[in-house]
Amino acid sequence: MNSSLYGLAAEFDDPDKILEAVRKMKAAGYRQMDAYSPFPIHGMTDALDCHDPKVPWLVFGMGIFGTINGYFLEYMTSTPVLDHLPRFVRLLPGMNEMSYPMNVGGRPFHSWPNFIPVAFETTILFAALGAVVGMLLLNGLPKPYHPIFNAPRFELVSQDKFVLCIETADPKFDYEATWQFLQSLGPDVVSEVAR
Amino acid sequence: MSDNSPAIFPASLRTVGRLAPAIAILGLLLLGAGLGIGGSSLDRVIQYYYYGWIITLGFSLGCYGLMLLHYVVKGSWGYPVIRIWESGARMLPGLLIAALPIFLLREHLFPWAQPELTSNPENAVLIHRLGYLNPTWIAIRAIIYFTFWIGSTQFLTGLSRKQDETKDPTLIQARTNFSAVALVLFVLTANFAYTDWVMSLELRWYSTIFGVWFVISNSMCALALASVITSLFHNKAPYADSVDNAVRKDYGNLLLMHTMVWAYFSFSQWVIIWSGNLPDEIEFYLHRFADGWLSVGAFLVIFQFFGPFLLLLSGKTKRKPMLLGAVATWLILMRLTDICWQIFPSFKGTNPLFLVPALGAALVFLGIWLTAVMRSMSSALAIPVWVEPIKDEVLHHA
Repeated sequence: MNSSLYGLAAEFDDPDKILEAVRKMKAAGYRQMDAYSPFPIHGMTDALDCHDPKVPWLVFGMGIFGTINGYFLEYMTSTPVLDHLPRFVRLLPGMNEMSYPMNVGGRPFHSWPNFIPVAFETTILFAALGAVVGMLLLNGLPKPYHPIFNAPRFELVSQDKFVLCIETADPKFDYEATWQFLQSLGPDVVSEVAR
Repeated sequence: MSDNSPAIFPASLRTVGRLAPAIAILGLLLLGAGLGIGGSSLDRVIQYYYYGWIITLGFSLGCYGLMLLHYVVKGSWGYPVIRIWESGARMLPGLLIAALPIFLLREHLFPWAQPELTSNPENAVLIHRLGYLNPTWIAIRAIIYFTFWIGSTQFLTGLSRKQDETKDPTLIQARTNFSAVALVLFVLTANFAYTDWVMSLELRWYSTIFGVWFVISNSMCALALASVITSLFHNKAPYADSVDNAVRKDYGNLLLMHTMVWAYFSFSQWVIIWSGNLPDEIEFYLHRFADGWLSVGAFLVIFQFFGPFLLLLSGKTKRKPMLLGAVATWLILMRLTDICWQIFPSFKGTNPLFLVPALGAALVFLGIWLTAVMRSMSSALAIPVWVEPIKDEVLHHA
């Protein structure tokens, strides 16, 4: 197989057509494909089946980490816990400045009810960061070079064309058969995409 | 569903109608067994009655609120169960009649109706409130709330049923326009109503989130009821066709949202009062941290919030009808427990054992209510013909 080929691109002029094409490709057993469109197409995420179950777990884990982190920060700063720790801990840089217990209206230093809102906020913060950073890490962004830009007229995808690209990495990829199949889905044009 | 005769009331819902009296009988047994705990003095009996009424009112108002919400936003999650909510809201006249004994025997419940408290100059706050919290005004306001709720329900459900016959699509927008205004007025009236009917159980306490806390609690009840019925009959008509995994996921996500809002309201009310620590504000929690009630509160934090919250986070819970049905049933039980915790510590000499007769009373009321709801539902199509065919991924690929 030609190793300089990234895949075959079919250009469509209608979002429903490309959605239908994706479904037919999936039904025919193709897996490695991506769809490019000037705007989000409803149902395309499901049709491409590009969910990653790692993301929710990453968000969940980061959320728990945020809870512990926020609570720990409050506990260290608002209670005299530092006085009870070994001397070398207190001598660590910044440690003595960290502890600042204050008597507020006679309430205990460890006022856990008041710690909850901050712990909640750090949960949300870390979960959101987990979602953004996890998304970037898992989908490989930022990506300065992508072969799909070698597809002819690909710049039209940011205007009014829709491109479906079947990648050579697909186990079912066969130059002739895939070309024929793409042609049968009613695209304007099918073309090669160089790597 | 082309046949427009209500005679084709689905067998699944007829089963619900037959199960409902069994719930009432179960409640009666529980109530009978529980009477030994607090005795059967008039005080206690009217307290159980009042609690059962508050629970049932919650279900009806929850149905009413979700009905308004669905008419406004027209989400695809509402269509399969809108008739359950419409019928639930149509029970409000019955609840108005059932409120009469509570009003007549009010001195067994409310401090503002007890002369020995209102005549004691030490209760300056209570005496100051008598201008607002007095029987005449309470009655007038109750009639205003109920008139609005019942009137708007009759109007909206009337339009909905009329559309089954005339198939006039303009009625959809008519309901939306009306409901948008009604939704705002509903939250306002419910807020005032729960201030009158539940918050005034305490001598001096007040909380501005209490009314909306009940609104969210009620709407959780109605949503959980809809989830239970649709999950139980997920492979039977009419829900086999109308509730797919996407809609079931909506119910799961809505229940998740409700548990979060419940936790948010409950916690913020408590943490603000805890931080202030002022005599007029802490009364409510002093009653609820004494006599063993604290353990019920702690139980609710774990089993009304953390348990269902973590379960509903998972997509699996929202896909498997039986799992979602079980979580929703549990949420209803937690609602009953929680509202018991909101109400009973205000009465003298109560402890967590009172949950037994209280739950019994609630089940008696709910059994009767559900029987009546199913009867009302059987006079119309279980799923209206005006259901819009939004059957693509447009709305649920989130």
